[in-house]
Amino acid sequence: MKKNNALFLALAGISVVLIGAIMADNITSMPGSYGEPAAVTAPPNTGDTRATEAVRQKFTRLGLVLHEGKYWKNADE
Amino acid sequence: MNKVECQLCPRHCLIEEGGRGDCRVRTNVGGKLFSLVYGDPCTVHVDPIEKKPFFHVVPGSQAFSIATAGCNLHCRYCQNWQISQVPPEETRNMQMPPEDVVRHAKNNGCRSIAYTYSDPVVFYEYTYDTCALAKDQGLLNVLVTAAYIEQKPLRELCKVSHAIKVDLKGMTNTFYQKMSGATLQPVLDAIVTIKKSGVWLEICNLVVPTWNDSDQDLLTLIRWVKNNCGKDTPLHFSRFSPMYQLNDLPPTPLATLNRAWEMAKAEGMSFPYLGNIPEHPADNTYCPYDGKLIIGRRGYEVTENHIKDGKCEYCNNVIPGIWS
Amino acid sequence: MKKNFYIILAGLFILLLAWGAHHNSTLPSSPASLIAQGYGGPMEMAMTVSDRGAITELRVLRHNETSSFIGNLDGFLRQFIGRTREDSFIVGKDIDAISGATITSTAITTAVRQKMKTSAPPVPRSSPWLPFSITLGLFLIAITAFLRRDNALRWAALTGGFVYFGILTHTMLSIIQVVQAGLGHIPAFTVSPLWWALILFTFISTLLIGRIYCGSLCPFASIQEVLFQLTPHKHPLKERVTPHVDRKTRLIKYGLLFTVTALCLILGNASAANIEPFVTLFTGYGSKLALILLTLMLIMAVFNFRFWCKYLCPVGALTSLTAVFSINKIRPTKDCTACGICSNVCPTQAINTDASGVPDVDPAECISCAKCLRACPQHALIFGRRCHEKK
Repeated sequence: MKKNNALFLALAGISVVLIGAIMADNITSMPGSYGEPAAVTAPPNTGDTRATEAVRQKFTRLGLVLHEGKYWKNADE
Repeated sequence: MNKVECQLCPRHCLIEEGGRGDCRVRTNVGGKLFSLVYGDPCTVHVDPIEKKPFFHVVPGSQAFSIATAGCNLHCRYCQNWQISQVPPEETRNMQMPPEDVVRHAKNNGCRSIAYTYSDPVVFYEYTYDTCALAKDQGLLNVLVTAAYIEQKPLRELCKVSHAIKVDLKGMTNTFYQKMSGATLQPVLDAIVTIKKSGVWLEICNLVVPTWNDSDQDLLTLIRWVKNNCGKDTPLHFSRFSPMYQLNDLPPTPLATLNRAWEMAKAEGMSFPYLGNIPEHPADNTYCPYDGKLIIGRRGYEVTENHIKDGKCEYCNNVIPGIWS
Repeated sequence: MKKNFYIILAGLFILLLAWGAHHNSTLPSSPASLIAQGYGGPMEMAMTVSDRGAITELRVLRHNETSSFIGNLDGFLRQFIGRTREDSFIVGKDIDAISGATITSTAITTAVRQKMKTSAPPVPRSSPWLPFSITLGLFLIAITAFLRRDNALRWAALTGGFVYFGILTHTMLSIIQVVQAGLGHIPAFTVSPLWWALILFTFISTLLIGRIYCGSLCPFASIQEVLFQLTPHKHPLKERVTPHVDRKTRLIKYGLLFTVTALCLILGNASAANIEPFVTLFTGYGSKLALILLTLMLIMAVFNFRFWCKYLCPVGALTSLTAVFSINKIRPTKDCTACGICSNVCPTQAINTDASGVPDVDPAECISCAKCLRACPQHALIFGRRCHEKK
């Protein structure tokens, strides 16, 4: 009985995690999933200068991922 | 110490540790060059392919269009400046690795994936990988670019592309320097390379009043395209609208554009078009052999198509393009 | 589980839906953006289309036109309100241009026409009453099967459900529908008759009888029940888990129901609801993760009767909460000898026995398969009005 319990709970847990992952994947990968209109284009020109604070916040939030570039070389003298 | 020289485009930016290239999306970390926008598009949209414009590539179909932040040109009239002239920290980016791009393109009924809005040159690695995957899965890859790129990466990219629309902005080096902060010759070389690679080529020229709208400018461009790309290369003259840093110029007068169109026809170009002008006969494609209207367009919408199996329905001559 | 617990959950769910309706009605209803190539240059516009496909709003956000154009703009734009995809949107035919601004008027009209063409819902091709009747028919078969305790008829309904809802129409009761209803995206009956039929008949049958849809119609359920027969009863992996563990784990499906619904209502769209393996199975649409989940559920079904249904299905959770309010239930008569056979036989362990051994059927876990009714040697289990139940 006990062995089956453990296996059962483990599989139930895995299922829940899997479902959570599917939900997260759906939400983040579909354009428009954040409640924005499906056509995500640059915001209209308001002529405002960008607030330094907004830039700083975005930088922290985004944590841009690095991907190895092609076509470059070392340039040390 | 630890400087890298980027060799993707003719700028050959020398980037110090922690620095960025001129395009704002390539950076030097620990002496290695990285792209900051791989799989992180900031613009995703489904557009009719005619919008790019591609008039000889699967007309009437939808293109799944993506772009990241950044650009290696700084054109004063850029209409996408809010994403092209900013670093990726300042755009709202989505995570969409190449597999997801292809998947979404299919799920949205798109025949092609368009790499556009900013410039696929600056998100080169992302473009290349997505193109390779999409090509394998039967989708067409159409690129919209200023073609300010080095020969080697361009040749590789051509291997996985199906159609490229190049913005040939002007025919003088002065124009390119003053308008876009770039130079002319690499663009001309790129266009020739694309033509030679067999990738379908369409050319677009934005006609800006007082900058490149003189008869001489237009004629030089038309003749260069005819001699180096062939008279069957679709040539789009597009109407300028006041934008970004050129807000005090008027929009291109219709007369100027009509003149460009007439001149192109007179020089023997088979497929000259005018862009950004609704309800104009120059939106349509006419068969160069019998003169009949073979593709009718109203804006971005295809109203009639008389091309069967890549040939004019009336006279049975082959019309160059990618029709399926 | 105690009845009060379910009632509280049901109440909370209704509150969640009510909140969702309010929250999403104050959100700007996602206008679509258009660019029209006006005479003075590109014009940014915003257009809102109702779920029935009619334009409810058309505004110009940015333009470079002259002041005389602006003066006549409102009247011009008002012509578009109420028009649908069926309209031709041609200047001079059904739209009057602004005098002196033909190019721009045409440009706006063209832009609207293109947008309407690419974003319209599919036009129905056949009568909606056929799918509606077939669904009704299947429900009637299922209900009859239950009332007559006829297992063969129940399998007829399950097979019909599998073929019709699963294979032919790939439309079955799904949390996506519930969430869409919560968001106010209710399709017209003529466009989506199955949507209406499934929700209506399931709701009504559950309130009258119990979880008939789950027990006798759901296409995914039939697959799971078939898979369970693949291995012998005595298979070591089929040994039941401790009742205590089992009952607590069943609560996960309520958690999922609330999580999915809340997320969708907050985000304003149904993307978080696309988690059901049967959607992946019958429509073929899903990510790699979804395929893994489907495979896992099918494997679990072999060793654990209706694993997905009992522990995870959010639709099941919803029918459970509804079944608690059913006006009928399965209950013992005074002829019951407290032998406990019904409790043993119940495939979803929905029957609990009290201290004296008298069975109590939990309507939330009962799937109305009638096995207990057939198994009782004293015929002491009946299906009747809940209010007649002796305390």
